[in-house]
Amino acid sequence: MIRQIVSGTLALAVASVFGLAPAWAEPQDVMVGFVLPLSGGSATIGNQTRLGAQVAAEQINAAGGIASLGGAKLKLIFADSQSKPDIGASETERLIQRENVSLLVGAYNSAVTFPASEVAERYKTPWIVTGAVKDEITERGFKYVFRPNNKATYDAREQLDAMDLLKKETGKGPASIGLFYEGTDWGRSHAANIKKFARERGYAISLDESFPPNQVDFTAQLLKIRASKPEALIVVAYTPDHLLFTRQYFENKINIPFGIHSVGGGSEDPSFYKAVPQKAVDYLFVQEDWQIDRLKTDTDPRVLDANTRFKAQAGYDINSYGAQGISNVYLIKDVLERAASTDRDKIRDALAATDITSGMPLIVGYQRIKFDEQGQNTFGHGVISENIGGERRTIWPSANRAPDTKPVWPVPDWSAR
Amino acid sequence: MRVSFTLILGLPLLVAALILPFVVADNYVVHSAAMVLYFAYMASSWNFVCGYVGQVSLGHAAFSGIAGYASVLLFTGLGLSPWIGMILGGILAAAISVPVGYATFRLKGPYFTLTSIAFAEILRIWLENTDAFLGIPLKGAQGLTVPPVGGTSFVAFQFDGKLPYYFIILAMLVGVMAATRLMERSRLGFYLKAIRGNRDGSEALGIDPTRYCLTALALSAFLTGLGGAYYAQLFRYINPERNMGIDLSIDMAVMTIVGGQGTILGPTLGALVLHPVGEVVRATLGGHVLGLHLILYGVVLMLAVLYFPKGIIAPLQRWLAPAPKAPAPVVKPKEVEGR
Repeated sequence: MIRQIVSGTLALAVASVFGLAPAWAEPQDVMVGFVLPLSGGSATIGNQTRLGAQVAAEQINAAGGIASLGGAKLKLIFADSQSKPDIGASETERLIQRENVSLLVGAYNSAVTFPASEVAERYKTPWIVTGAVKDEITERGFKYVFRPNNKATYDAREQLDAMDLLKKETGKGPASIGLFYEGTDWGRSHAANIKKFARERGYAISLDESFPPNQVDFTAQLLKIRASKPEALIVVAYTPDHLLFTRQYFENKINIPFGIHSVGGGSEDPSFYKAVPQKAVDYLFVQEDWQIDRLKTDTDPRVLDANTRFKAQAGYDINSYGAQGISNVYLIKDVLERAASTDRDKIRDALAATDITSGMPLIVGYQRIKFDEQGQNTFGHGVISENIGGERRTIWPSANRAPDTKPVWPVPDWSAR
Repeated sequence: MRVSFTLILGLPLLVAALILPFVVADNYVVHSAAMVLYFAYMASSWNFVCGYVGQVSLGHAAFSGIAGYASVLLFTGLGLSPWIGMILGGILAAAISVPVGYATFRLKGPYFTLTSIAFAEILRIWLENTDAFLGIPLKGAQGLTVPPVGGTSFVAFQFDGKLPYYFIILAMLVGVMAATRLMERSRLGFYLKAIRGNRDGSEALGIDPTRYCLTALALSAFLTGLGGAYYAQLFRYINPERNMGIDLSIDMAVMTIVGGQGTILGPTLGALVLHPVGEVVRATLGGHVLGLHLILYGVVLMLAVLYFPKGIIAPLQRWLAPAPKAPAPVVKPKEVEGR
């Protein structure tokens, strides 16, 4: 206990030293807390979101901060959840109580977001969900939790929407779908959602195969895939498994006429594309929360500047988690401008009244951010790209597709590549 | 001698714990203190068997998970109060621990440790991949959520403030210490010490090592289970990765070993040192030197193993309660001589 008190006062002392340093600045900084997995298993993703958020805050602060607050600067405070629910909840408690944040963003892992956002709700502190897709997060009747990004069910629906769209455009589409997914929260819930939508839309499920993460050999599973002859294959895997699967699939040259449809994870990781030959990822469909070809089509100087800053630190272009960090911080700017206050309840009301149809908060690829009563952005969606001619081109939704993008559907046989 | 030492160190700690929430009326401190108590409780439950039998279990998280899941499922499915669910869950954990122990306590060597890891990991992987079992919605890796009843309800184990949670875990910790104390002094405690000291020797004296180790394991599993159910109620969320994963098992073991295994206060001291290390590092460095808490954790463990192999309780014991030990042998012979 004594140690607790000592540690508490120590933390306070350190916090006050850091807090006093910028006291010369005229308007009070707006404190924004971030709870992200900065170390441990999901650290790469957490740090990408962090970098995106920092880049956006740099831009906003350089451009004069929050005008309605007399040019107040955004001050981002990052806390490491280590992907653990209890640590995420404790850190949320600390950010609210100690750092006195006006609002919070977090926490990528659904398992952390779920209990941590409950802490925020209890303290009436707005929480903007980033990355976490568990449906129930915005189904608890909470007043302070808002999610601009997809729910898990949206991800699944979109993959079938894309197939439906291509079918409508070409008259051709798969009759059967195979499911190949890691046996985790993410993989299993995604597969369950796909099955539900597939049943409604009349697609047969020809393969339903899960695997424990971090496999060393997919030969047996590939034999199953070959034998069950799915016409399209949905893949859910993080980078190591996705790499192995893609290599072995490429070596085995299995023909799947309507292609492989990956729901992000490994296939949105920049290092994935460095580690496989281009031929192995030709015609790969990827669903992710980021319009991958945006940097080529967008002319907004802020987007390009953000990418320059991001790339300088990360070594690669903005990816979906970086983009979500940028989007989150620009959403916060929009909300603060309207709230004209750092009061948590006023920010909450401004968040609830959000209706954004243009600008940087939509960098991820949405057309609009508007929350329903449960705090879910019903206009949130992912973007699906196809790897055509060595480039990942957006093919769905049609509103995001560039005019010169021609989806290849069905995909050519291995013999014709 | 140990009694007085336990009291010398334990009583002030208890008094401090009791007045802390009133001196520092701050939710963050109370929450962090409750987490320290939670880890102290879990480590003490682990110590209940492993510290006395001398067999290291790295699968104790499984018992926490079993009881946690049982209490949540009984609450959401049958509307049974988590207080009853907690006890039933603990009993279930104890029942499941018996076959695991029975198969391995009869063997010498690292078999119990290995089996405990395998058992916990198999259970975790199974649970992560099972959406429903016999019609019970386990929801796989997604974990279970405890629906809020709204407001404070003692029966539903849900409170608005942090204080009730704090005092519940404090009471549980005092309870497990009292149980440890009772066990130490009971026949079971002496048998376990004998088994730990010399297994063959104790067997020759007619002590059945398997039986007494099993008894201790079942009790320890029960206590660990109560802790798991508490966690589920505190966060209203439970998932296999955190509540059954090896991280938690290792935390329990490391805190006990650093603090001093086979002692009543050791595990609590371990939690008191190790948990705040992570907390302070996270709070002061924020997102700057990532993973430093893990490095410090490792450094503390190494220092403890190098300099205090009996745990940090050993030097404390020498400082706080040296007097009764030293004069005792001097006085005794004189008395004998006088007669």
